[in-house]
Amino acid sequence: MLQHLLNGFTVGSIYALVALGYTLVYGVLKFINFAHGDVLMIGTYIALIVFNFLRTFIEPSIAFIIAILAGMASSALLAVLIERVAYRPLRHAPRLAPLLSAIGLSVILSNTAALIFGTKSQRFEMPFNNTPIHWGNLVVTPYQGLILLTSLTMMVLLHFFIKMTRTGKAMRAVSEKPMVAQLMGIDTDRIIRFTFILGSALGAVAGILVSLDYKVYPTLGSLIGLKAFIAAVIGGIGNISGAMLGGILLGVLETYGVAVLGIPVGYKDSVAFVLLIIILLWRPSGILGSNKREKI
Amino acid sequence: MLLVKHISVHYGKLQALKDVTLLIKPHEIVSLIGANGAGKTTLLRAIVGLENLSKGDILLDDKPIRSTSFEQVPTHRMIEKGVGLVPEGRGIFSDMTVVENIDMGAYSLRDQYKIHQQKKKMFDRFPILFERREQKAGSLSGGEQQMLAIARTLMASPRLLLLDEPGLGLAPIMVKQVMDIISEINKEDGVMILLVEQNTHIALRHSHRGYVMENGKIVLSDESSALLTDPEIKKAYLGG
Ligand SMILES: Nc1ncnc2c1ncn2[C@@H]1O[C@H](COP(=O)(O)OP(=O)(O)O)[C@@H](O)[C@H]1O
Ligand SMILES: [Mg+2]
Repeated sequence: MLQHLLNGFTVGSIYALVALGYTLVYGVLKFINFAHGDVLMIGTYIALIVFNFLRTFIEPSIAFIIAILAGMASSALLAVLIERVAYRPLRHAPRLAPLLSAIGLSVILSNTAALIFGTKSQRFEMPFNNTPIHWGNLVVTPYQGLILLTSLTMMVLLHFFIKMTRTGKAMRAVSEKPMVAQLMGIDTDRIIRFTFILGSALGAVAGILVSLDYKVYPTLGSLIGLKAFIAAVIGGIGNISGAMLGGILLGVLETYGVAVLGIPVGYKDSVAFVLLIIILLWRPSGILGSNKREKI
Repeated sequence: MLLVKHISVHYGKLQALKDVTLLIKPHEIVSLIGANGAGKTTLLRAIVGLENLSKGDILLDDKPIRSTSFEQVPTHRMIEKGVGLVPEGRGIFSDMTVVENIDMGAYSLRDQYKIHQQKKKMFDRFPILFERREQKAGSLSGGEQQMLAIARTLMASPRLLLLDEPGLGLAPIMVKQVMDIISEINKEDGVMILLVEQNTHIALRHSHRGYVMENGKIVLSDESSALLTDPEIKKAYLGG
């Protein structure tokens, strides 16, 4: 039982990291960035290339850290570029316009990745050991440990960043009342750009972590993106704790669904949709969402 | 000094401001009165750059800040220039605490010592905000929220304070308190104030001069004491 909880938590923390990207951007722009999954996929590819190149020269663990930073940076850069050319010009257009722009970009990015990197999945050639460690009845792989440690650290850091720092508070101000935020001297464009950077960098980390156990392929972003989007909606889109809660809840329930309820592995992904429907019937704006109904 | 020179503002085809001219001199409280829909909020929004001018220009201390021809000062730079707007409906960040709202008012300041001093000054002036500093701002009463909105804007020490219906929805006793604070800010710190109010009597009693707006046009301006006794004003705005 505890084992499933641990496994679920691991997957869930990945969903949570990606869900944060949706929710942060939704917070400041009230818009779902459907290209988020594909932006993190590109970052993951860059990390893979950097890692496989560097590990022949330097210590693999150092190469891996550099690869993560490179992946975060390239996702962030790409997100800033997309925001500038595809979203900002549509800021005052009808709400459907940026949404369509995002969906279009998502298709373009995954196809471009297939073209450049090929459709065959690739893996991080990790020379370090992934033999499971036994802890009483509990089995933990070092990758699992790495995933949990990294994602939980990031979430704690993000929490304090949003709560305590000047920029974090400005993000909250922009998300509640952008016009008033401007009157306070907050450059909303700068905060929006920063939010994209933050969200996509977290997403890249999630993409890299999940690829340790699975692989890197061009549609990697679409599946994890969809799950994370559902997690963000379950938790209450725009709500940061909600994204974390929704991600972990989804990961745990998916794992239990397969292991305990005996849902066939092939139907595992439908758990997310069933959960989404149930939660939205019960609380239309998500578990921690505000009561105001927001149109997407 | 703020000089609004012959400005017009359009919302699509609707002309909300028609050739509006208005002056605020140093140390003055100027009230802007007029019925609902007259264009008062639009004028304040135009001053801080939330609406574009279709004609005319606006000068702050003889330096142009808005016109139809040159690069405008963006809204988020207005507080640095010394112009603070307390918007209609107060605009407090209700999910943030009182002290976080105050912190947002200090966003444009970089000097930590100055921020600390300003905060102390605000909490001295508004003791109720100090008592409630860790509460969610959304849980405050209407009057307290208005105090917070004013205190927050004062954090950046503006030279010109624009107030959009600060008395709206408040009990008469709260309205009086808010008005007294406005007078005090003007006297002690010499802040210029443009006060938009539907409560004509109170606005004129607390200001030096007044402008009357009807359908986007300034139709009258005079010393507030003169407007208070003007028979036309009495009939239209003071209930006889
Ligand atoms: N965002 C807007 N879009 C279109 N028309 C507007 C908008 N804001 C205000 N108006 C119109 O402009 C006129 C002036 O409004 P406003 O400046 O809010 O008046 P006041 O503050 O004096 O009540 C009104 O006729 C109002 O309907
Ligand atoms: Mg108004």
